[in-house]
Amino acid sequence: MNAQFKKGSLELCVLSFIKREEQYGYQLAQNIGKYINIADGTLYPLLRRLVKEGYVDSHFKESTGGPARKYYNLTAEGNAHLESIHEEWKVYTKAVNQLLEDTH
Amino acid sequence: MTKNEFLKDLENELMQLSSTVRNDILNEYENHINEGMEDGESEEAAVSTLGDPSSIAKEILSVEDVEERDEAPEYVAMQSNLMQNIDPKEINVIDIKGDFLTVEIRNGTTFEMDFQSAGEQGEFSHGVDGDKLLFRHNSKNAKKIHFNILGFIRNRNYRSDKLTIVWPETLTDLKIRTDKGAVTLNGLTAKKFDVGADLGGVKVENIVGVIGEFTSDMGAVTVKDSGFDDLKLSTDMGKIKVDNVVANDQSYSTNMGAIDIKNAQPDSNITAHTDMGSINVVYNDKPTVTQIVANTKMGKVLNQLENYIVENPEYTSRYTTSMGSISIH
Repeated sequence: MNAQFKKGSLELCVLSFIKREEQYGYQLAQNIGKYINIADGTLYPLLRRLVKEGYVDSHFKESTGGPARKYYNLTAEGNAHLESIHEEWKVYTKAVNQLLEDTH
Repeated sequence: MTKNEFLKDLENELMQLSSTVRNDILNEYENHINEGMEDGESEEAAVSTLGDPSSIAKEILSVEDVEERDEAPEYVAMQSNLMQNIDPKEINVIDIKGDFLTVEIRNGTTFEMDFQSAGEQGEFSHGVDGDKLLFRHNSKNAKKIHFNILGFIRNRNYRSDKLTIVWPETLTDLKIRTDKGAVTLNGLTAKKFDVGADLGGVKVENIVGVIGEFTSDMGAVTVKDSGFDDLKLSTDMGKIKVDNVVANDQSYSTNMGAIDIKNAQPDSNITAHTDMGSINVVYNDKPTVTQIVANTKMGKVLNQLENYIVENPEYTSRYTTSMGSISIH
């Protein structure tokens, strides 16, 4: 699948899952993987960026029989940002679909 | 690719990050691989779902880069005392170059740095280049005043800018060059000292080093209570004063000034030469394995240790002057 599409929409996908439920990296990779095929490794730089931008927070939670896991949750700014890019996505994909219909 | 190979590759590409950030990142990837294996995947498969370490590193660096650039500019223009970017433990070399600059560096528990301008607002910059801390100074004063030697010595109005550093760690190299300004060092330890003050004097106390070279054209050079393997002092017109210095090889030379050595180390190679000045040496103790030689063309030699013959000298101390007198006790 086209790399540009994936890159552009990954943030939307990540924030959407994190909004539904706070989760750790591996969990997130499994969730997204059910829908689209991504290189799991690209999630962590993205998550770091989202934390720096203040859209996401992280905290460690002990897990039974393993090391503590770093959980990611959405902040208020993150929630607002998600709504905004979700809206943009809807508008943009609707426009592109229309263009394709009109030209084919 | 195994888990360790992946983590090693990734680690190598993230070396420019701080170890805290780098380890945080590596831990997340390691945990991810472990979770995959716990889910029943093979190590190879769990690693391959991550993707290629190089591309991951590139993305991480581009994310971390933004913050690094904002927080830590490399070069800071003076006059400010922005010391938080400098960690003395990571610095091995200090290199100072100034024209109208007095430098004072002493030992202390915490790193301090202060620059005081004598009013003319010289240009002063400092920066860190790897393990080197650099200072560069250009004084506007130097360009305005026509210098002559007597003017400098007489005229207290010629005040230099002053750099004061309190340094808590040892160094491999300390290099200082100042045209007009004195240098004072106290309580420092470094492998190599290379200090030159043209017009000002050099004063060194409680210093430990392997190699020490202290030079002043016009000023006096004084070294006290210090130890080296190899010590070299030279001045054209100034006086050389040495007091309680321990060094295997000592070389003192001045053209017009006098050489005054107190509490001299009995067994060592001391070579002292002055053209026009006098040499005065007082030993702590009688040398046991050193031959003492004193020569002057025109002056008097008073060598109280002259008749002290040593069988197989390990060391030779040689005192020579063209026109002055020599006195050895």
